[in-house]
Amino acid sequence: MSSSDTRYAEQIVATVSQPIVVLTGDLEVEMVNEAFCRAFAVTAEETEKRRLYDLGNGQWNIPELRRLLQEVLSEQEAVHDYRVAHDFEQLGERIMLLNARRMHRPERGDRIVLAINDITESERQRDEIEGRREFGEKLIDSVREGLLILDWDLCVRSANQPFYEQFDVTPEETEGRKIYELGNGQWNIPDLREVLERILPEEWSFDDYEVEHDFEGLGRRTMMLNGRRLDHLDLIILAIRDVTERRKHERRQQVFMAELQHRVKNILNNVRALANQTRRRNDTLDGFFDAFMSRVAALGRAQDLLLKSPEDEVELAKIVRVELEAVGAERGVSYTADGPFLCLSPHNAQALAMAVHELATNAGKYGALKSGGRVAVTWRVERNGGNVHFHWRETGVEIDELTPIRGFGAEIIKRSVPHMLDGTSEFTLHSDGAECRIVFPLPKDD
Amino acid sequence: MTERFLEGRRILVLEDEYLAALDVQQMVEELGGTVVGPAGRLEQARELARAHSLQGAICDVKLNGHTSYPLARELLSTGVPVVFLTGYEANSLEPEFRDVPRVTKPYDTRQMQDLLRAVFRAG
Repeated sequence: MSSSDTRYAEQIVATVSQPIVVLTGDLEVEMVNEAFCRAFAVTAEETEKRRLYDLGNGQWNIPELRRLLQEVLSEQEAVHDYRVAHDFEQLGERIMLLNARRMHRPERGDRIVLAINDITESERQRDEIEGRREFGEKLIDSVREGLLILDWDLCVRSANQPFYEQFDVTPEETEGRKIYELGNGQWNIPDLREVLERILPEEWSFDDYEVEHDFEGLGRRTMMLNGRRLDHLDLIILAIRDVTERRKHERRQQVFMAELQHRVKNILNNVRALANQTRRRNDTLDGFFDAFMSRVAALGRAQDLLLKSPEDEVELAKIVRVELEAVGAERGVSYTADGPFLCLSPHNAQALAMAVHELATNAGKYGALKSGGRVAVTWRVERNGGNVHFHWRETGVEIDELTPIRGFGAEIIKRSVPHMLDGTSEFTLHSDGAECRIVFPLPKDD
Repeated sequence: MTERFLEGRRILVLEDEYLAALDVQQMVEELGGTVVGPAGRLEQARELARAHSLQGAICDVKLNGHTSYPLARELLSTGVPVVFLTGYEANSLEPEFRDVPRVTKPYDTRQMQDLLRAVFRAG
């Protein structure tokens, strides 16, 4: 080789960033390049002319290296990516891939060229990436929400197990398809398209986007979506949560609160009317107070009955019992109540409770419950479910005069039944006690 | 004594709670008006409206299971002024009826009288 060729080669070797060692046939170091010195923190002086295995603290005396140099290279001319792992005293654990070449030079002696590729860092990074990937996969599968991973063209890359379960689909039906094609085109909604195609590219994320739709196999559901666009991986993550039940509950709550408010306002209005009407018919404060409070208490009892029943309907039998017991009557002793199981709507229940309250109050002041007689209450429903026939009969009362019944109570009984129950009421005074017949229709859907 | 400013006016009352209906009836009568009704049901009220000439109506918005809107619509379209009795906040009324004068239950007597005077006296 000419000296200019030598210099040419030397410049190349000096520039190369890989550590290079040239060994003689006896494994003595003839030359190391700058990269080698930098990588292994040695100088050319302390390295050249010495046996490879004697360098440093014998750190190159590695079994795999010995095998490479003594066995492999004796059979082959060149070896690529021969793996050597070693714990160097100063550098620590190092993994290296070696390229080795035997140069045949019969006159001047063979040479071995070693190029060292330190892959320690890249191995570590690869492990870390692998670890992160596994972590990501396990995390995605352990999350309870359905997750869809899309590429930037909105094709499904993958989905997690909860997604497949949630929508009752298989990976085959899902992977590789555009999101708009999934199911019955359930995600092919203009608003969602806008979010995925315009907002996500600009904002990189969106939260709490709601979709209400008739999903294939699921029926009408409300789904809430969160989306994230990942820069480094060209992926979009969609988290899908079924909030149908929650929204239903919220709506029910709203309806309930509105109903409640309305009911309260109505009750207050009724109390107001009660006070007004009672005042007109009572001159004294005590007279007013007794009459007023008695009726307000009846209103309260009706509300109790309403609140106790789950479907908001009240049993007629309970209304009768509660009002009679409030004036001190005893079942089987001073009153009987018989009739089929019958539930009334809140409106009808309140109306009937008011009438029964007046009947019971009247019985307590002037009738059977004062004279030690009895009250017999019965009711029946017409066979085709049309009208309810309610019958109140007091006995054991001595009526001196068959005078027509008067007073606010009587007025309530007479007029509230047609007004509120769309029915009729007849109040008759017999010689042994009062009788009242109330007939009213049941709403069609009962 | 309040002025009988409803003298000569026939006012339809629709309210499904008997006691409240009594109250409204008595108020109208004390102000000199004549009550048509009081009706407790929508159909009953519509029949009364068809059978009598009216100068006004006082309607409970929410009846048993439905609203009094159909009656209100009919009356307003024939130029009969309507006052609503409501337990709801104003903005849960249908948009169509947002401008109908109303009192919320339980109402203040004075407030109600002032409203009746304003709505039913003119013309």
